Amino acid sequence: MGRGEASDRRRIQLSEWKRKLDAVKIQKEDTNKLIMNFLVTEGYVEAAHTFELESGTPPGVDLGAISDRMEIRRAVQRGNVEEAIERVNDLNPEILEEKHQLSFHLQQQRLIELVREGRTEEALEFAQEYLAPRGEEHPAFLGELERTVALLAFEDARSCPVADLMDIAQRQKTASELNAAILASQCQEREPRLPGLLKMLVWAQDHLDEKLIYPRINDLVSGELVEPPADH
Amino acid sequence: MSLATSFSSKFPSPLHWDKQSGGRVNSRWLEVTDTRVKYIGPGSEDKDAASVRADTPVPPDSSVYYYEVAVINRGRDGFIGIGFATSEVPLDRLPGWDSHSYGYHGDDGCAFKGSGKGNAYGPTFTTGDVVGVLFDRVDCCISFVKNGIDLGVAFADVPLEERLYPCVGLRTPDEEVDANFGASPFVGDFPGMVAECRERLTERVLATPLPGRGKAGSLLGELVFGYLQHHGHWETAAAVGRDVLGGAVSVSQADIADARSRQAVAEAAAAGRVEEAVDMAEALVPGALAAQPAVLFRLHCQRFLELVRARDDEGAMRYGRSVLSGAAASDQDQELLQDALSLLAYEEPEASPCGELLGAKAREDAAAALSAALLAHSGRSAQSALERCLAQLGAVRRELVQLGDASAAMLRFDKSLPSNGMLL
Repeated sequence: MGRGEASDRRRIQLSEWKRKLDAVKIQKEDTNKLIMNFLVTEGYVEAAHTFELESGTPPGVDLGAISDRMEIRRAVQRGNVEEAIERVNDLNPEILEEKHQLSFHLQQQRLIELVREGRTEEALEFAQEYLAPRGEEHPAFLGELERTVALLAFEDARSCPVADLMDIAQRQKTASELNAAILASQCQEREPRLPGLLKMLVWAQDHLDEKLIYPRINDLVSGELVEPPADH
Repeated sequence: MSLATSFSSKFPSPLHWDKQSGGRVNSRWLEVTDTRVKYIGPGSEDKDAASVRADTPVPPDSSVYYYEVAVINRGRDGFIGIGFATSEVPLDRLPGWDSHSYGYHGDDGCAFKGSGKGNAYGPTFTTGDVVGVLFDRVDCCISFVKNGIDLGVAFADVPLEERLYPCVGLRTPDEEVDANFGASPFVGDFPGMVAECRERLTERVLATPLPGRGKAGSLLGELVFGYLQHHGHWETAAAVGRDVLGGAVSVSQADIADARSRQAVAEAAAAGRVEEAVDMAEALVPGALAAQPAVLFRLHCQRFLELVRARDDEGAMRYGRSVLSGAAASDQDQELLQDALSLLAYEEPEASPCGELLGAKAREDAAAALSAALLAHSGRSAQSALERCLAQLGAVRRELVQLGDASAAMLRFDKSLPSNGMLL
């Protein structure tokens, strides 16, 4: 349908739509679980613990394990990769044994941190001892390996062609990959469900716009219904 | 339920070939028995072609439709066409030669769409092969499957308004095929195809960008904060304000005090102290109950129910006569009134047909109605923004499914929810 053409879409008024909304039963127990899922997956341990006490919603996981996960994540974000590796292995040694790519990325991050600290000689030793053998074992990592080792060839790693590796974003990337692997090992979802539901709402409303004129929620934060524009 | 659709449809699904559909031209050249078709015509030129349609079109509310055709005999030249066509397409033609007609042909492996000239598409097929036809109404495309192997999309942008019928066409002597409309297990992995379609759709939906962040910079954080505050989980709300929203919002003491008073009213009602609850409500938000006669009536009823519960039959009777009987305004009120009064007729009212009115659930309902009335009168919503969003999702989804939307029916809204069926 083009601009200016008459719309043959049916129109649902606010009162009728409110009746339809009333027919949708939202159970508080379900919503509570959704909130708990958000707090747990995003790692807000204290809020999750408080919420369990206040609402009686079980967290479904060991909150202590989340604390470990968050500390591991923070260790990578601080640049302390060794500590992170040690902690992951304490938590579950199988994670790094099974995930070669993750394991490679952690060692790569370690090299980057050594370069950042200006410990060039150590970095070179480390690359030869730990990183190179992995590249040989897994040819898929070779390109990345070469890029990383290239950091050693420049006086100022921060303004070289592979300077992006020195970014904080690289730390975040490694930390996220590690975080997701720990979650997967605990059979937990990587993403909270709440954003998915909100995306569905946006998608479903857009989709229904093609067929109906009805009261929408345009501002998710307020959750206010907006009445459809009046007939001409 | 037919196996050929991804969920049970309220529309009929094709079951067999339609003997009548060949009733006009060239039908005499097809021998049609249930799902089997054999060519018995001269088969010397294109005008000797003959097609047959299924008894009914693809269900218009299906997300994914699939059927299979086994080639029993390739006949003289194997000019066999398999696909879909609308009821307007002439039947003395092979599928794909005309508009609103789509076919995959066995002799050259070409895909035909509204033209006598096909496009190179897949391998040829012959005696012993099983050809699957997949109409993906979510992605609006038709694909074929040979002996269980997906040959990819043959036709994209298929208009969903077309009422397509499964269709086969034959053109040379002794060609014979047998269709499976889902009565027996398929050779192709239909559940797998459905799962893939669902995955593609879910991916698309999850790629939808979430609009503008909230005031405090985090849409999710604010929704969660609002929900916690709305339901009086103050400590958690404070923790979320601090940890998720970085201190951009905090719980106000006035809100807490306000909510605590409302909570005390609801607690009194839920404990059966109705008179006390009504007095407290009137003191807290003057005029709130007068503005909502249905809620007031519900509370009067609850007061009556509490008297019955306490076995104060005389008191209940008096209260029923003086207050209750005149107060019912709507049909709904009348119904509740009758149910409540009927309790007086029984020695064991708890065990009577309306006995559940004396249970905890009835008290909680009354308390919830009272809370909602107080919120509404003080200009607050009965639900948090998060709950309004979820209710909207449920209503929109239901509307889409009722309108026969292929995608909405395919999306598992409930899979991403904590417990199944919440919004269904």
